[in-house]
Amino acid sequence: MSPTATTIDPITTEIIRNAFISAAEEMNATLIRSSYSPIIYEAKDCSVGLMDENKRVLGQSAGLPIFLGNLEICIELTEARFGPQVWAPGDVWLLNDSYMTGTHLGDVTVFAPIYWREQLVGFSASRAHWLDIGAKDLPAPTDSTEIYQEGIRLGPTRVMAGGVLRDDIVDILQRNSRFPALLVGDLHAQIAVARTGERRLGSILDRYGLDVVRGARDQIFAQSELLDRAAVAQIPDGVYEAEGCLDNDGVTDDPFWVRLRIEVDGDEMRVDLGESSDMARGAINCGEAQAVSACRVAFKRLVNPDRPVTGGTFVPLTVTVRKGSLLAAEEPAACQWYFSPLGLLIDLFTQALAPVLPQRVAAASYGDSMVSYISGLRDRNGELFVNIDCLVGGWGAWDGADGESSLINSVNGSIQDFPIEIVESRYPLRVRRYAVRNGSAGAGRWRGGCGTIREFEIESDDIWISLWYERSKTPAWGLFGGSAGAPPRVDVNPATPGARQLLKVNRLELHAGDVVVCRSGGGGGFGDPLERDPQLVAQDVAERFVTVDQAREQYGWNPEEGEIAVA
Amino acid sequence: MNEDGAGKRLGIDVGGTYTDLVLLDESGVPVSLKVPSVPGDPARGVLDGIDALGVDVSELEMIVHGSTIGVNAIIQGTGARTGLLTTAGFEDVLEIGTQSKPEMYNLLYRKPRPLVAREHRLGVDERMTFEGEVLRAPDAEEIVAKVQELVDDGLSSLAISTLHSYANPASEAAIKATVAERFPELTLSVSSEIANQRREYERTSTTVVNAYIAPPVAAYLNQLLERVQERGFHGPVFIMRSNGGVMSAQLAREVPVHTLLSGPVAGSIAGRIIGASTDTPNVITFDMGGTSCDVSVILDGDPSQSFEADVEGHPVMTPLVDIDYIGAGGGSIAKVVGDRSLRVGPESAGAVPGPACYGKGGTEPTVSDANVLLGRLDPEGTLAGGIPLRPDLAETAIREHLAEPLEMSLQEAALGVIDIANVKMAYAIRAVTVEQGLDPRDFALIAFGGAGPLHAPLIAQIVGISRVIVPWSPGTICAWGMVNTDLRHDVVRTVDYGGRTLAVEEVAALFAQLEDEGAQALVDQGVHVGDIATRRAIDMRYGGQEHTLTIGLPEGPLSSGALETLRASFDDTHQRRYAHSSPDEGVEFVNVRVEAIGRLRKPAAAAASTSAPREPAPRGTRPVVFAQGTSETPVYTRSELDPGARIDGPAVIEEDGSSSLLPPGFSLVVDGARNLLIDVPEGQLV
Repeated sequence: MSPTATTIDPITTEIIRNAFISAAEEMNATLIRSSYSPIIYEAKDCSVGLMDENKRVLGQSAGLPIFLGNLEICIELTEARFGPQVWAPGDVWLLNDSYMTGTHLGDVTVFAPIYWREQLVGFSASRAHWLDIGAKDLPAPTDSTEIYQEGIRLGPTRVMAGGVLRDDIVDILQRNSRFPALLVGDLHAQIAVARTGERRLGSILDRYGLDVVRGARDQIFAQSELLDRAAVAQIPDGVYEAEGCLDNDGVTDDPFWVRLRIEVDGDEMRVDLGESSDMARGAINCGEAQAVSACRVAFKRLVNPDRPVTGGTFVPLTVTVRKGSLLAAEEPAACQWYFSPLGLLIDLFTQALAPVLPQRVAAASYGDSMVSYISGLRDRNGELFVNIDCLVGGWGAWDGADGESSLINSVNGSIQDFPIEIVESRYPLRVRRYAVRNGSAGAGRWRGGCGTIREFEIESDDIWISLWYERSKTPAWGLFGGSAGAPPRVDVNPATPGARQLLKVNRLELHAGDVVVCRSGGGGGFGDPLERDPQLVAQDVAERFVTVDQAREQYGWNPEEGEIAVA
Repeated sequence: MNEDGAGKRLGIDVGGTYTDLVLLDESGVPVSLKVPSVPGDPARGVLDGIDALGVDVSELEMIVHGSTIGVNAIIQGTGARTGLLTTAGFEDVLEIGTQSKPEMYNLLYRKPRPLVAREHRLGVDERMTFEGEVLRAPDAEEIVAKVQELVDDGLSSLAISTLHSYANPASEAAIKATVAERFPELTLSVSSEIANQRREYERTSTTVVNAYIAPPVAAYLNQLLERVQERGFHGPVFIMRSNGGVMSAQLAREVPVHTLLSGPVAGSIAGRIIGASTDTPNVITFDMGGTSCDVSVILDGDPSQSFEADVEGHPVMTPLVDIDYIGAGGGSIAKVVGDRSLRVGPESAGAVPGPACYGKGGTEPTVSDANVLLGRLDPEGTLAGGIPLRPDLAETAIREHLAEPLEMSLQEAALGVIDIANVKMAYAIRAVTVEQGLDPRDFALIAFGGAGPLHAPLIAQIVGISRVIVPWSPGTICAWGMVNTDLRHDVVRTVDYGGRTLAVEEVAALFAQLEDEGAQALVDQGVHVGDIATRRAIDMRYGGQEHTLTIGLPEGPLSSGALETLRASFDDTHQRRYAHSSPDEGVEFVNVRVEAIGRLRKPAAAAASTSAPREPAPRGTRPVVFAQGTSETPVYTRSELDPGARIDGPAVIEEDGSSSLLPPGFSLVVDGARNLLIDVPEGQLV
């Protein structure tokens, strides 16, 4: 008979818990250390997880917040497709199908069963963004209407069988990438991650034995679940709803709605996303798995944000989607920009619960990744190039503090920007301005953060720009009387006869001397702006975060009298 | 560690709680002392220490000093009122920062505030290209008008940082000349002089941090110099730098940013010297105090280095010895989370109220309380200042907060706290070795700090390290490291101009220029040319990569052969660090670096005793709880142990401010320099 959870002492449990965390961290370090693509080792567009035999998380490390906790689905779906007998020692699988993983095709999940003394004891998995898997445009199209335009699509595929790499599979992958050498390098890095997970879990089992490790695991899961349930139980029972729309899907001009209904019932929380819009023709569709992930991120921001994720976390949370909707896409929906509805969903989740958690929520943030790809035939070395720029923006205020200006959005996280001095030395671009965007904050007793301005001058011909800017129809809203932040805006050659304003475009050709001015949105305000401390208003005006007109109109500021006018 | 004889020298390490002093004289036997710091007047604390040690400063040949003045100014927001002049359009670079959000799920995240308010960050209409071509030169009238605004606002320190100044310092130099002429009272910090590297945010941040701390650091150093000179000291005062060397106090007043991380670095330098003297070139230093542990890795005699650090949220480009911090120390709090989870840290009881056993009002059980309960720390011992420990309060804390809720015995709970703390620290050591491609079994662990020698033997066993070294006076080892290091000046130049490859002659000319600059900086600090040595290195990467590896160049003239060796060494290092390499791929040079060392004469080491060691005699015994059970354990006084003495565990070796634990199965021998060399039996880390 195996020991039950309560027979494992808390000290052994805690030591084993630390061992699981350390194992996941070493898996992550292996990935960062051995990957070939900067998007993995610099931008940390990746995630790793160590799972038990029931596909529950023992330890995980996410590079992107949005990759939180849904690697296990890849293993479940593989088993559903091929049966539970499919696993064999030495096998390694990969999978990138958007409808299964939930994310875009560039994110490739590599996973492997772990055997110990000839018994299946768990799984290791990693997800990483491969630079190119053969989408129609490099690095990604903004106007795709079918998944077939977004790269090679793979269901569960055995890339290593019995410890031997399948050259035929690798050959297919290489033939479908513009950067085959990088692709193979990153694949090997992910296989190394699988091996690290296997070795670490094996050594934990060698030391403590299967019964003790499983007993400790049950105890760890039970404690995580207990803590999450206790936190959910503190939220008043009720039904909480919110909705917001995306501007469009990149190919039509219709808004697409994300609607959520949260039911809190004792220590359980049920989220229904079923009322969201139907699948779009453009690439804003998302596979179910990532919609679940986004709800987990949103949940985590309000429920025990500082506790590590285990197989017991998220147990009180259930998510329902409607097949064929934007958030549970099916063939042939395009999914390249799957994260745009998710950023909105995460902010809406907070909005829905704001009335009952006023001390723990913030107003909305600027929302999306605000991407511009500037590609061209000749960089400073005369080679094909793409400069990927994600313009950060303002975050929402909360009770007690203004929102942050120019901070990365909630689906990304630790991605750092490329210094101007590096951009200019590599690409035929000159950055003319990089600044906090004055006057873009939502007003409030606590104001939102400001967006950002980045202004490029193009220095050569044969250059194209693709843009994906979102959230102009649902800019960052305020809470409790605070107002919304400014929406994003992109100008090409402003104040010239050929001036254009646009937010989304695929491969617009540019010429030497052209100017592109990108502006990201601000964050929402919190509370009535008329209640803002006059000294803070004066300080904001002095620092130019708030314009004089805004101060007068929104805050009742009257500089002549040096006082706030009484409303 | 001993070369030629030298006169008396004093090392002074001012920390937040304690000021440590180490006096080295001709005998080579260090005399050390720990006194409380005086936060309001740190110079006063230093002089108190000098008095307590009974040193006549007029007899000293030199003083080597490290302090936390600069870091404290940043933490407490008490630096100078600072302004910034930069390229127009880029005034917010400092505010935007790296744009990243390290606390992923924190909805209420706050970025560190810039040290210069937005209204004091002013743009100058000037522009330079990445190749150093001046598109628009700054205009003197505009500069004067802008600086006048700042001066009118009461600012006293100014940072100057313009785009691409690493490629050509001309614009910054012009701005500096104009400002210096019209506003001689302003303290000026110029980015191309302080952090001459590409990456505008990090370079600007470094310059601003310097501007912010320079006035208070200078005021402190002036005060200290004045006071020791009043007492007849006329030698040089050297200041510990983050790179592991020292610099003159004169220079430290101008570029204090390069001293910010010096405190724990001195410990790493001490570890390197002790490693060299004990024939263990691969060491991991483990400095465990009340709230945290500092860990550094020394591979083949060279401390691991990096070139950028984070100081309270502000990036600083400065060469530094790599130190990893772990939030676990004697004050780490143990608590029950949920209904049956036992956690240790990261919360700490700190110095106030401190562990329950300090009797200063702390009620939560800490690692130190567990050590007292287990008898590993002397329950009848005292805190600095002679205040007796309160084992009764330690017991109450552990009983009420741990043993009762978890339904365990007191000893089980206390052992559990120590085991968990040790495992966490073992994993941290694993992270700085295994995850960097190093095998911890190839290293010795050098333990110091108040709690280091108590925990290190068991941690070493968990990690698989077979040798622990406890140096003499482990509580003041940083001050000892200071008096045993050399002057060092690092020079760097960014060379990667858009992928253009440099010819050997160009690289050689660049190095010659940097070597001259480095040597000159040392000569300016009073070093004789004959005592100067230089080392060269290049930051390299494969084409298309962003991260670089710093690879040392062989000595001798720079030839194409030397560059081939460099290339091979880069591939090897890449293989070790990143588990792959591409010998056929093109490489790029990003920065060239020169470190210039100005050798300082060292005191002789104490003469090794030739007589046979006395048989170690315990001062007494007390019951100590180990995993194997409770043993009536001999307790030795460290100073009574002769070189050559051997002890088998279980044993406890006590000295002022620190205790070393020798569990059953472990043994130690005292070497000629009185280090404890502990043999660790095999263990297992999962």
